[in-house]
Amino acid sequence: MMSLAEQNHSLEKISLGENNLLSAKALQLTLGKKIVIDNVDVTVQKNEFVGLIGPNGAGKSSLLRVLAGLKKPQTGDVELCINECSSAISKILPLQRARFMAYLAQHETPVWPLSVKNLVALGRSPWNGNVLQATVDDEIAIDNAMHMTDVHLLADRPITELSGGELQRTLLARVFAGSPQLILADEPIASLDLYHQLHVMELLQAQAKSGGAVIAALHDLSLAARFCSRLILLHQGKVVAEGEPIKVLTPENISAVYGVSTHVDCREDGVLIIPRMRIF
Amino acid sequence: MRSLISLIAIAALLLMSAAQATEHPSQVSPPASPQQLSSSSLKIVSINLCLDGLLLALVEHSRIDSVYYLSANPQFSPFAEQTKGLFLNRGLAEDIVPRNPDLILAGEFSSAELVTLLKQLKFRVEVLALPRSISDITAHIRYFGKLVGNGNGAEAMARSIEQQLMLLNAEQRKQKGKINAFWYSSNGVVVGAETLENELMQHAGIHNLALDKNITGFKQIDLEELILARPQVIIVESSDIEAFSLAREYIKHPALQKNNTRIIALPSSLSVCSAPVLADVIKELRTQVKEF
Amino acid sequence: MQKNTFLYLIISLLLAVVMAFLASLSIGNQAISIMQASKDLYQGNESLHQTVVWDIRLPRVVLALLVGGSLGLAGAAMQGLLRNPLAEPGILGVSSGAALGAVIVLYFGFAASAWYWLPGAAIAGAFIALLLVYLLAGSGSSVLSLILAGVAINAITGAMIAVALNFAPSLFALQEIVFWLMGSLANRNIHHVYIAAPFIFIGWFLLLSRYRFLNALSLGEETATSLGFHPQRERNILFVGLALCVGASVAVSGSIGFVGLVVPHLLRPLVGYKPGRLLLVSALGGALLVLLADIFVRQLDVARELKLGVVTSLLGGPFFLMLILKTRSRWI
Repeated sequence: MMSLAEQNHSLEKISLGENNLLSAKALQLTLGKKIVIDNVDVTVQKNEFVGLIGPNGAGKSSLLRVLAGLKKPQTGDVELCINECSSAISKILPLQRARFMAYLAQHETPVWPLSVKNLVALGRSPWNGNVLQATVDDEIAIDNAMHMTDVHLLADRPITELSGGELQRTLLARVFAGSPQLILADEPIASLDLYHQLHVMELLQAQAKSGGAVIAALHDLSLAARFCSRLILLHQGKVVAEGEPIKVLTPENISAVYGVSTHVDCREDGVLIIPRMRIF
Repeated sequence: MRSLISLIAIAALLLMSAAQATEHPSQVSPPASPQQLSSSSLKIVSINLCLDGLLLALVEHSRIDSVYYLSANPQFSPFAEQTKGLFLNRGLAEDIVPRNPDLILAGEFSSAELVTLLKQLKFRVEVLALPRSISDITAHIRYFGKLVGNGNGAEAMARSIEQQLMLLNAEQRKQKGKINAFWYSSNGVVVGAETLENELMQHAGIHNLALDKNITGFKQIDLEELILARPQVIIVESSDIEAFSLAREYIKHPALQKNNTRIIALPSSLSVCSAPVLADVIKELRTQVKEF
Repeated sequence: MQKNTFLYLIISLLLAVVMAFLASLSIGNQAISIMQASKDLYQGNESLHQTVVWDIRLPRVVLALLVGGSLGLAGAAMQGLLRNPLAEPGILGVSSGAALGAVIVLYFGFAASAWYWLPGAAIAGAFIALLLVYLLAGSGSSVLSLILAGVAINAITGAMIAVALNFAPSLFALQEIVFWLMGSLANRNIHHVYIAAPFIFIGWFLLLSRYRFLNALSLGEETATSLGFHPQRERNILFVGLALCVGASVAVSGSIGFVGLVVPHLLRPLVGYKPGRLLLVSALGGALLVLLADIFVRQLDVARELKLGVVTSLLGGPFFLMLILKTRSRWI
């Protein structure tokens, strides 16, 4: 648990925005008649691993898309701070944006049976332009990314022959290969076994700690609490709670948003959340 | 209940007769037997473009009751002008039956269903075989003349063809050598043995190079094969109306203009209707060959 | 290593195309020496050899190269863009769209007024058909909806061609166009090369320059966007490139089907399934296939020329069926 002083310090930072990599204000998105995102403010700072939690349909994926610049919100603006200079995402060149920030979609299904290595290499597309010659930088980045995610032994396997977990790690390697500062990931551990869930969370945490930042939509509240430095709880397009994991994951918050009563147990090695019963 | 049914039946009958009345404005009477009329006073309908041509040439307008609609289209018929004021039929029974003609002329390729139907309705239908050689054509013209009651006119027409042909033969004898040529028709098709075109070429003293290639009838040949046979003359058929036709694009290939090959363009196409235009084609062929 | 195999593949395809090109120039329907023809051309003699090789064969062979390359390339680009291995200009009705444009211009006398009318109209037709395909099926749609979109567009354009021809001044138009649509390069002259080549070259350039986007698109449109591409812009460029290639090809050769299906499919494993790399090799492969098919067509001595498009369809039809059976379980 952070001391009060530390907490104040971090709050101060948010307001000052010194280390902000991404900040969005008063986002509003309606699809058809449905309000998907309702007046949401988001900031992501350097070294932060932000977990985006909430029940199905809370607007997590939509919010990530808006933050990634894939969808234009009706109101509000997303600002990125690239090289300490902040500007609206719509004014940034797509290539520059792609080098700064990577996005991992929830159900990314490649159509062609590319080899693992070829797929990971696609992560380099913001950097290289040559069809014949991959630069040495590219080769190193691709190799590192495959090692990090433990897929280097699969390098020549076609992705159609991979298990769900292997594919997810390959896709994550693609993200890492682009060496972005900021990673936006939509349920990156949804189809993984325990071992690789931990592995991926560690990788994302490491990315955050090494000067970058991560914002990920997550369903596993225990893992989110354990790895994320900050959580944002979304419900019906609104931010219900935001802050340190244990401040957000209160039984009251969870029952209000998820509609289940839970037992929340804070321990040395993490937060344990046990769902008890549905209450609606 | 019964009264209702009879009411409906009466109404239906009335409706039917009304419909018939509008469909057949002229009164329908059983067709008169052709034997009762002399052939020079027959009211004639033709449902074939080629027969229309002969009809217009040999029979006075007043006796022609109707011609085939394509005859009024200048793209197909050189005699489109003459069809003015005539009823144009589209080869449909409802066009023909109400006109109650004495004689209906059909070609061998006219709709068989139509001919059968007209015969069942006791009309006199004459189906004429279309000619495939020069002697066929003259015989065809003479037979046609008798049928429509103008034997003399037909005889003169056939004579004129024969005369033109004799002149063509005479000029051929004056010629020193034979001219090598292809008759190059639409779609890159050359004309070979057993065709009217081949017969004409022979009368004109032209050697048909297609014969060297053992071509009988009509065959598409490759342009390079055509060029390499070294034709001195390539005979093409031009049409009066310059409507675009892919079939005629072949004739525009620049390779045809090279190597001292001369292109003779005949004014009318024999491929549609040969009988009415044959004399013109022979005359044109004569002048062209004479220049050679 | 991978780069090298790609380079070797390109070089060997290029060699094969050059050989097929020379073969096609020298082994036409008749025995003619190209050496003699070249000598005559050099010395300025007007000879039969020269006429046959330079006036008859050369335009035909150059068109085979241009049209084949365009169709192969267009097939690869469409498959990449629609993320579907069954996309092909002929199957999806893009070729018939182009044919509709060409037919209107040919039969209503515009073609004669200026050289660019014919390819221009065909390109416009192809573009409209492409937009319709995209609206009906979209990117990454199932095989079923894509094929249905193709069936619909082919049916509509076919009917519109028939309607247009009914109003055409030439009454033989309908019969003629049936044969023309089968696709052929017979008796084409250098004029046809002049009207098609400029558009085709621009089309090639536009399509080949989009290789990076097509690679990225294998991960879906959102990911491609997140990788720094502007999908709308890239797609528009691809549409224009496709319309130029297919339209200009159809304008001079009718529709030669299935080249864009067979060629990319055969070559895809050889480039590691990368849609971007597939572009160049498919262009070469398409040129090779059409050159060879055209050599084959000319060797036959039949009363009516066997149409080039018929040959490619005979090859491609069964192939198409096989592909459907193979992909049925995965994509529908």
